[in-house]
Amino acid sequence: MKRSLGLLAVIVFSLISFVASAQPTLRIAVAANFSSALKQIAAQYTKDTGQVISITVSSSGTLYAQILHGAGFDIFFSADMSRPNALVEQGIITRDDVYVYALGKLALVSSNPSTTLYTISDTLTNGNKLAIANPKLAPYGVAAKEALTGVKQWDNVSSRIVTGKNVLQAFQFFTTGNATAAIVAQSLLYETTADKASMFYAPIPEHVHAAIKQGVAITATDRQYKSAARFVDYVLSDAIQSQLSFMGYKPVVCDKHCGSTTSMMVKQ
Amino acid sequence: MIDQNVVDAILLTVKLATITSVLLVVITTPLAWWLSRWHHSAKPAVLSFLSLPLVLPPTVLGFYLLIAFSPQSIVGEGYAAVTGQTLAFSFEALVIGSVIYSFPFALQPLYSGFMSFDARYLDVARTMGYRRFDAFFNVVLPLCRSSFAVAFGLSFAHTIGEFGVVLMIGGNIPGETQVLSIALYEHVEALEYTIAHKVSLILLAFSFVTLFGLYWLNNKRGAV
Repeated sequence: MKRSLGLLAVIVFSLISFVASAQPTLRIAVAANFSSALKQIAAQYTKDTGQVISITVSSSGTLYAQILHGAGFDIFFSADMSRPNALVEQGIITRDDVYVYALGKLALVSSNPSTTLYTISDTLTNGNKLAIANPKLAPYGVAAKEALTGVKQWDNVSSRIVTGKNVLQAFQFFTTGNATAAIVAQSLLYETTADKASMFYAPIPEHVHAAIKQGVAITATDRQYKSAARFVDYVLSDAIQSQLSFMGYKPVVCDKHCGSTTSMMVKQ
Repeated sequence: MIDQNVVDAILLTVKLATITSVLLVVITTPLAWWLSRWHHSAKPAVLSFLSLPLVLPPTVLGFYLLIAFSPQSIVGEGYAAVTGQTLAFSFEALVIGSVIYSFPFALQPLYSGFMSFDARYLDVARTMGYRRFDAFFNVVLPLCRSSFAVAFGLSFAHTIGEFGVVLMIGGNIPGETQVLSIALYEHVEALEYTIAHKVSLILLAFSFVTLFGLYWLNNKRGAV
C-alpha cells in the first residue's frame, strides 16, 4: 500500500513537471485572407523551433471584438491596419506592438478572357455581376472600389456589384459561376483549387489604389510576450518575407532580391 | 435617428418573412395533412428527409444553394432562360432559400396538429353533406387554428432571424438582398457598435411584437 502510494506520487509529480516544462502553445488569430499563408509559415516554424501553435481563422472585425473582450490570443494578424490601431486606441496594446507584415495585391479574375479593369463594363452585360469584398468591412474591398474609381469605371458598374463579407466570399461568388468577374486578393489565386481553365487573370496596376497594408499586433500578456514577439520577428525575417512574394503578397522587409527601394521593417 | 439603409432593410425583411411564411403555410398544409393520414413503412424516412434543413449549418445550406443557382446548373440555367437574369443575388433567390431553410418550422406544428385532430369530426361533417374541401376549411382549419398560428409565427420569426443562408446567396445589395440581419452584421463587423445596438433593439422589439400579437390573438380566440 505504502509502496504503491509512493509510486503514484512519483507518477503525479513527473506528469506535473512535464506539463510545466513544455512550452505553452502560441495562440494566433488570423484574418481569413492570410490564413493559408500563415498556416504554411507556422508549420515551418514549429518544425524549426518546436513551438506549438494553434491558429484561429475569422474576419478581422470578429477577432478584434473578441480580443477587445478578453479573448486570449497572443498574436493577431489583421487584414488591415485599422483593427490593430483600434486596439492601441483602446489601450489593450501599445504602438510598439503593431507592425506591417505584408502588402496585399489586387487581381481581377473573369470568365471572359478579354476582360480588363479598364473595360470591365463591357463584360458586365445581361445582368452579369462583378463580385468584390464589402468596402465597408474589408481592406481589399476598399482597394477594389478605389481601383474601379481610379479607372473611371465605378459609376458604370456600381449597379452590377455584389459584395462578399470578405475577399474569400467574393472569390466564391466567382468560382461557383454566379459572378462573371471578381476583384480579389492575388494570394487567393495562388491557393485556389478551383478549375483554372475558365479563369482569366488581369493584373491591376498598383497606382490606381492605395497600398493594402496588413498589420499584426502582439496581444500576448507578460508570460507569452517573448515567444509571441519571436514569432512576429520570424514572419518579418528576410527569408519569410521573400516567400510571401510567391504567395501573392508584396514583402515589407526585403533582402536583395526584392529591390532596393523598399525600406527595412516598416514601422506603423 | 435611423438612416435610410436601415429602413430599407426593415421593409425588405418584413416582405421576405411575409412572403416566405405565406408560401410555407400554403405548401406545407396539404403535405402535412397527407402525411398525417399516410401509413407506410417509408414514412419515417420521408419525415427525416423533410427535417434535414434543421441539420445543415445555414452557411453550408447557402453554399449548396449558391452552386444550384449558378448558370452552369440546371436550376440556374432554367431561370436564366426564362427571365434572362441570374438567380443568385436576387430577391427571388432569398425567397427560395428561406422557404427551404424554414420548411421544418412550418411543417412540424401542422403535422402534429393534424395528427392529434380527431377524425370523427370529419366523419360527422361528411355525413352532414360537406364536401371534402368544405369540410377541411370549415372543420379542420378552425379546430387546428393554433397549429397554423404556430407554423406561421415560427416561419416568420425564423426568416426574420435568418442570416447564414442570405449571407451566402444574397450578395448584400441594399434594397434588394440586404436584409436586417445582414445590415446588422455589417455594422458589427465595421465596429459601428452604436448603430448596431440600435438595429438589434429594433429587430428584437419588432419580432417580439409580431409574435406576441400572433400568440395573443390565438390565445384570445381559443379562450372564447
